[in-house]
Amino acid sequence: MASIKEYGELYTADILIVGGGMSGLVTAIRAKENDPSLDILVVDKGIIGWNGQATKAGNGIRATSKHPDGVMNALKYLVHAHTPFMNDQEFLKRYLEVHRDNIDYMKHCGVITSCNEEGEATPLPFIPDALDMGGVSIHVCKQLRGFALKLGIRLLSRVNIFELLTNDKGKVIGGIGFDMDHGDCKIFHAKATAMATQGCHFKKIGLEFMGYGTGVGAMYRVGAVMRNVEFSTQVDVVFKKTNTPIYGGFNLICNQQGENITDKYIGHKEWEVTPALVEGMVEEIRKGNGPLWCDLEHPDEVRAMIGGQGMDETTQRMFRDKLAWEEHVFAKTIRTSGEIGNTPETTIKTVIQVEPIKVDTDIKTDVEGLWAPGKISTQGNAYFGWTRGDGLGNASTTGMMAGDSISKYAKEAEFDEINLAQVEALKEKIYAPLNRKDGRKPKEIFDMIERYIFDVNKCITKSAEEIRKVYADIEEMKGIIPELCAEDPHTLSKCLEAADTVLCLEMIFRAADMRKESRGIMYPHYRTDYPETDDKNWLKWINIRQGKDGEMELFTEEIPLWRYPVRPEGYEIPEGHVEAYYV
Amino acid sequence: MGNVTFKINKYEYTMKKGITILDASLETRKLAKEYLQHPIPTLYYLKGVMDIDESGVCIAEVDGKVVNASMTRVKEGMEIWTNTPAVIEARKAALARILEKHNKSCLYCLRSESCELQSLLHEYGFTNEPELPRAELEQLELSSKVLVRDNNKCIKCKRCINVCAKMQAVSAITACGEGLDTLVTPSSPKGLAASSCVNCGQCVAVCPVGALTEIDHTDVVKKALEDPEKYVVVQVAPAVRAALGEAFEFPIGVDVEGRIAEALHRAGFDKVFDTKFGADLTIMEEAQELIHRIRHEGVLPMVTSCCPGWVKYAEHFYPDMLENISTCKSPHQMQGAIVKSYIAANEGVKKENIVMVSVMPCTAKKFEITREDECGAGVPDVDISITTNELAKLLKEKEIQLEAMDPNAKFDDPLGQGSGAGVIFGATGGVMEAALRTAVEKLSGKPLENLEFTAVRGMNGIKEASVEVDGTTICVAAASGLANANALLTRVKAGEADYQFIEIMACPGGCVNGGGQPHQPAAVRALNDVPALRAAALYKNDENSGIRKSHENPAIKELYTKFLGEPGGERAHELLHTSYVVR
Amino acid sequence: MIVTNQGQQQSVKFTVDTDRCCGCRRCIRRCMENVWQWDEEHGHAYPKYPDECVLCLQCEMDCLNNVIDITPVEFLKVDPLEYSAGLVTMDETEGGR
Repeated sequence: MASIKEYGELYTADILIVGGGMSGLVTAIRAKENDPSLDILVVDKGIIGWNGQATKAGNGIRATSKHPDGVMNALKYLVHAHTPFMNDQEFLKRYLEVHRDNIDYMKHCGVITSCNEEGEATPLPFIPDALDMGGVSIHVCKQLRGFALKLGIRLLSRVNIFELLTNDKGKVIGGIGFDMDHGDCKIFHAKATAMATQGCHFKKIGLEFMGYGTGVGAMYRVGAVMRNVEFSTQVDVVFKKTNTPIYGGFNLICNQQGENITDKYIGHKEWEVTPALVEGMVEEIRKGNGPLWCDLEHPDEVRAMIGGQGMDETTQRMFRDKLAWEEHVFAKTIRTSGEIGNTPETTIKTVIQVEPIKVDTDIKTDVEGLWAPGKISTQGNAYFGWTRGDGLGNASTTGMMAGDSISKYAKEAEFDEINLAQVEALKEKIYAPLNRKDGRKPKEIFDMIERYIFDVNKCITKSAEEIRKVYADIEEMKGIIPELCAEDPHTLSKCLEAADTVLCLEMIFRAADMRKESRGIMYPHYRTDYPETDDKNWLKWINIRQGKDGEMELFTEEIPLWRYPVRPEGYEIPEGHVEAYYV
Repeated sequence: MGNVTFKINKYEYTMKKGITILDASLETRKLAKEYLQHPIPTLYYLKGVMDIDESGVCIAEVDGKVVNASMTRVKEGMEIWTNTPAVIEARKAALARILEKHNKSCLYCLRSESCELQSLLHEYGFTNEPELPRAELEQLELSSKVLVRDNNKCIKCKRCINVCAKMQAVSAITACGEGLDTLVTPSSPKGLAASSCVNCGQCVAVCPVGALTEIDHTDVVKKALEDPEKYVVVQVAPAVRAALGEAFEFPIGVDVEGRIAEALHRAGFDKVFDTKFGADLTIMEEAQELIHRIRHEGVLPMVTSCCPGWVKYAEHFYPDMLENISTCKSPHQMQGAIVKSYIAANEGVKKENIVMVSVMPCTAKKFEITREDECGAGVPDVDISITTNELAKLLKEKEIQLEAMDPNAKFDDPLGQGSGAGVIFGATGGVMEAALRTAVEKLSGKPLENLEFTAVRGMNGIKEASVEVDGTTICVAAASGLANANALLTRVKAGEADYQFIEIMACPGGCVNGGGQPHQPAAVRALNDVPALRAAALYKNDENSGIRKSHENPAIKELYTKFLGEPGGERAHELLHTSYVVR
Repeated sequence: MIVTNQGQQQSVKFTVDTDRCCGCRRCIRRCMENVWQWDEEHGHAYPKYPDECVLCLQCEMDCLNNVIDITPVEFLKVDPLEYSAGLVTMDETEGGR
């Protein structure tokens, strides 16, 4: 009778949290505080406390204003500001309620936050009486690590979990992966599992984006539902010399004739880089009016708000470490590329983020025993509430929500037996590239995908024709995947990551193909062949999941606006539904 | 006394008159708002040990002049600048001068990553010092079995000389020469082993660099573990669990008892025991001895004997009080003797094949285990004693992550069981309190209601208390730091104080502040009472213990019933008691 | 040692004074892309997977002995606007096949 030890080292815990960044740690801390008797194990492919996007990003953290109408004000703002009316307003309202406690909870967990003399958290108004912005130290993960260790949480570093284990009813009961230094197989057995591993951020250039989608892939293969994946792309305007973003500079772009692009093509100030603006920029280049440049000598109020200028010294000087890092990077890049000046040449950079896991108000997925806090579900939860500063805000808020729910579940749950045949099959799948002698390299796939980032016709201004081309590429990539080979734990991870990146890519384009309209301001979905917003037919969510035959399955779901407080003008309650607020 | 108002880096503060610039800077570091904190680097400074810092880095600019921050008092209206170009240049020059006489071999140095010089060199961007010998002084001082002195690393702070003379009243080391040409040498021309050094390791505890370290026995332990002929047993002192986490960047004061148990099991030890048991055993014997002396007019005051630093100190400086010292061995020695007799028989292992390793917060234990009269079963009770720092090194070399270990893991039976009384041995006053819990109950014949003798707790150098038992008053005292012990014993000898029982710990604060404990930088030590935080973890452990009195430990009861007979009896004396020599 | 990567869009040069690596492994700890590995034989850390580097420079900042120097060689080989406008073709880009 074979035992699990023959396949790998076994770790058992009441709650398994995959991903030890900010949201994973907050989930663990919250769950442990709710029930100290729970044994909680957090696993990360890097070293917990130093890894995670929070250690390499901006340190702003958003919270809902504590104004008595703060939650509803924020709700109304976000329903209009991002991707109008696509929000799951029930989720959003619950999120915004917990979101009020963000900065206070960080303080409670020992994180250094922006504060007054007495040490009380003092966020600044971002959207007045709706959303506030505070700051946390860039060492937030290290501080959370310390607090977690004090509480008795176990933190396992350098182990990458690639697949989830399920019982015969489809409930998630653990995971399997390997350690990044020696490649030894590690198996995890738990009563409840949270995947806090980030979404899939395609080949990145720059500091902020991580995540290769293996968490998304693992959840897809156990039946989790994905949602809103068509809203995955966003453009930043960047300095041509350094390829780093000019936050808030998009209304200040001019061509060689000195014409302002926003004025020429839009006619009013934009609050984000919209597809229309991008189309305008491409058109100018096509006409030969490039290179484009940014007029930083005359910043506007948008730049002041987003770009951080005009903020008082208090806010700017908040965090020595973060500023030290920024200065170091800036100095290094400037030294290499020379002065940028106040009228730098600009181009664009596309960001593709797939964060699709559908979750409910407890951050629970449709799969039993499986939660998805953090950036892995920011599209899937349909809150459409991301603004600058909500990366950390989301990690903290969804961590609290998930921690509350998962601890309650784990308290009552039992351990289900591991299926050794399943373990054997998954282990073989994971290690397969190591056994191939000569094969293809993951870099081939990543470079192909990187070219989408260059091409706005694929990513931003989509059309049926371009989508067909992408399908053809995806077929080609799918052909490469079974031939990928690796020689050590790192290259093995890259092979597995490449496969899941292709999966996420396919999700984007299938959803974009289905949605025959354009919608959204942040991470917009835009079709040149369907440029109008169609509220009559498309107030729906597009869901994706793995079908019984293993193929990708898409289905729509009507947004229950009859239950929501904020609706489009002229909205009529459809037949068969009764107006009833969820509240 | 009055206040003084002044500015640091243009921010205004009001503090007590007479404060130095350095102390003012330390005060600002207690403030909540991060940008109001103004750290000034130090290198020689250590609060309470070396209050003047002449390294050249502890400087600031006042009125256009660079001044020594530790020697300049703040005046009304003073404007202090901590990071002007002149200051930074001067600091770099000072560091360069120190570096000229420092053999930098970080890759092989035990203090790499906790070295205060290394972190300053990092902060000030030093990149051009080769890892080559720059100083060629006396060869390594290796005469003692405990400490290593490498004068080629010494940065001439003289903290070691101060602590040995002032805190420890030993003066085993002295300095000749001036400035950066100072040479620190043992006070005996024949070397450290021939001097009155008591091996307390406080010099190691205060050394900012790797000039003073303990002798590293981790390789000896590893060899034993790899030897299939050897049965390797390990035991862990109470104070280790309060501090080992710090070597893994846990917050200060986290009790990692369970985690250590699992870590040591993974490391491959055949049995993993807890010196809490040995501490209980010591209490059984020592309480019995005290009661005997009280009832039969034995030599009083009785002084504890579990601290080998104190024992050697007495052998040098108080030879006429050797009779006062309890004949009990220290906990780990007693436990070792039991392992080599009782456990050997139970497990069917030859005592010659047992390697007994003890993990101690203490450097003096390395000497203690070599004493002739520490071989209860005919072989050395303990073969190897390693410090907390060496254990951290061993675990890291074996890639065992303390963070991932289970806080609820258990030590092995029977010598893994210990009472709360046993665990508080690590704090000054803890041995006294543990002994009282047993002695008072035995003397009165009644169960003890109040277990906590808070009068002997805390970080004061000398503490006293009196306990009423059955009409008799027992006067007790506890001293930590040998200068305090000296003061106390001087009064006793002069007839100025009348105690029945005295606890003496060589290290100020008790074993939690031992020479083998993880190092914290000077700033952390100035702003936190590190020994108190560690001691608090031990008292908390005691509070949460099911059994809090040594004589109620079932494993102890069983040991006496099955093997030892009576406390103080023949077999107990043979195995568990020792003798002293005049030096 | 000097190591360069040859990315399709961005290229980076690492200059590492491995003789003065003190073994603190902060670079390995910091790197979110697993660029750095430990060379057991020679006793130093080195950028084994330079292709993954995203120029966050935190390894350089954290390095205890300041032995790491990372220089961006190229930031932007393909201008997305020009590519999207059809002024640059796929064949002119590197990488991939």
